[in-house]
Amino acid sequence: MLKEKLKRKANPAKELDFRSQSQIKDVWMRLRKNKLAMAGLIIVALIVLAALFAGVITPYDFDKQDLRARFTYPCLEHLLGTDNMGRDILTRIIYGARTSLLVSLVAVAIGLIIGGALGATVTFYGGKLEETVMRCLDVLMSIPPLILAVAISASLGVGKFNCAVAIGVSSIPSFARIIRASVLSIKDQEYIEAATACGVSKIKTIFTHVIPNSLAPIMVQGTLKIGDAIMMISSLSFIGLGVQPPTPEWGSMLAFGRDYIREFWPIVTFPGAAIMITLIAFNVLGDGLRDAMDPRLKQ
Amino acid sequence: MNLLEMKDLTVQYETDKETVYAVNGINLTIKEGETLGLVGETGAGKTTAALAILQLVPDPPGKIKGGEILFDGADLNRASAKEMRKIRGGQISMIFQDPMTALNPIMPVGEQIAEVIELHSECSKAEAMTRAMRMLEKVGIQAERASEYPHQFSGGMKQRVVIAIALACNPRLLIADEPTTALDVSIQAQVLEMMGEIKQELNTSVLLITHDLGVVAEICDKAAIMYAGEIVEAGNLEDIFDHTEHPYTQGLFDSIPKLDVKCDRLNPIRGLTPNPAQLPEGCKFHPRCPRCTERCKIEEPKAVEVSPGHLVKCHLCGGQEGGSYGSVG
Repeated sequence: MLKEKLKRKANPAKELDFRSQSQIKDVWMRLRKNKLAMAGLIIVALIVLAALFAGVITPYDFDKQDLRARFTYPCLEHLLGTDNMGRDILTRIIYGARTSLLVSLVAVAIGLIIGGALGATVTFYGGKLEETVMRCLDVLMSIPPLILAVAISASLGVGKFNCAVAIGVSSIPSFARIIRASVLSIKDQEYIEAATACGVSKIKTIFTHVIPNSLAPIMVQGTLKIGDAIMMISSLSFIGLGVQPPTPEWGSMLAFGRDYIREFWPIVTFPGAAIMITLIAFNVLGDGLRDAMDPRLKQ
Repeated sequence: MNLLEMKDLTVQYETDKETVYAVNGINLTIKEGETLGLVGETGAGKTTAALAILQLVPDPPGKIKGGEILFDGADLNRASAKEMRKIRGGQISMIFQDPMTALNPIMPVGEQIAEVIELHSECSKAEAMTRAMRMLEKVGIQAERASEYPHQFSGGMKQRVVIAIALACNPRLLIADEPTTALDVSIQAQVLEMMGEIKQELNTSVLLITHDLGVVAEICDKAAIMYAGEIVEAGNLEDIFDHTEHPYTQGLFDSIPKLDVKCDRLNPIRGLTPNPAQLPEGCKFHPRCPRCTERCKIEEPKAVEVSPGHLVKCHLCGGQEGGSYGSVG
């Protein structure tokens, strides 16, 4: 270890490399100690892999109907049964992961990045700018997110990306509000004043000192929002503004299976379980990430 | 050559309810390589004066109402935001009182030092990091610890890191706002000694804010005593310590317990510092002054030079009416 550091001193060009790497490495080391978070990570990784290699994993097509095999209960041939059109539910869940994960992740990323940066920046500057922007966000917040998403989606047109934008934009206000709370407590800390006294510009202070210190609550909110986003996609799909059939999507599988809920339980149970497992995995992972990113918790 | 010259600096905090007169027309000069101790009780306006130099008085509610702060001949009160950013950290830097909160908790200390270097000198990130590590060594911390986080350091070590950040760009003026208040006594001595050494090496001028006269005696060349936003007495160490003129300074010395005299009770200055929103008429110190006269209650004293370089703001000193006491040159 010491040798490596001495070498580093002799070769300053390598240093930058070491710096950025070491932080990621630190986070990874701390994350690895958290068993629950690792379990979450493994599940998320499995789901992502399954979504990527869907074509290899399942022998069926997600839109191939087999009307003779409608409403098959789970058996060896169809591990999770078939739906009202005779389509294999497992296959549809695996293919559905592509849409659900991609759209919800993009949606949350849009909300988190725009909402977080906007909320943090205006709160840090304060004054009239903050008032104006936060009141505008309040207006956005007063519209129910689903209605807002419907409106945006309807004006942008259908499609996966537009769907993600619609959901992302409707979650901007809540992210901005959450980060505002932590920025308010951080902006009066002495190290922010010290940064200013060192000549660091305001924008740089926000991105290197304020935001990294206020990430914890927004990380948790982000992982929770993934669940919201999946539900929102299904709602949009249900009214025909989200993902178009026959593209499988967990939420819309639930929505269209709704009619058969009493007679045939697998049609809603398995997509629901898929959503639930994904959510728990993301939540646990998000929690762990938040802890791992805080060096003060290092053992 | 005066590096820093404050002329009649006035800073007030204005709210709807009241106006707080934090700094009321103070005059200070610091020469190159000189250390000035600014001494006063809590709330005397020391920190506000220091923040005014860096143009960091929180606004609102704080406003620099008047006066000049000449740094190297240029008035900082008229400097643009961009010019000030260059000066902060580069030409003038500040050490904050509490090292526990003055460092970003989630950034390795080396990076925090490198950040300032990158800002003020045109060098690559890698070079800034190398210089940061050298700086750490200079303040007595192994360079290998650059990748550690603030919580892995003790209080004294953190203050060393803060000092390393402040001195990283060889500033010409260092403002140290009670740099040792949060540290325990044995560490205080170490930190002060280290500051003294580095100061000598870099020929930095220092404005040391403190309420510890012992610290002033140890490392300062000159001292200024502040009371209720005014400098009541200023001079070199000999003037202040051996030829004390102002009753307030006298009171400060009397309230220090002495090792060679056994006493049961300390001898504090009676009363409290006045509310800076409602300062008394006349001499600000008169309600607490043991030698208060009728004149003190009405008329504000002017600063008088009782001996070359030794300024006192008191009616009773320096041959002003009402007589003088102590040793007048």
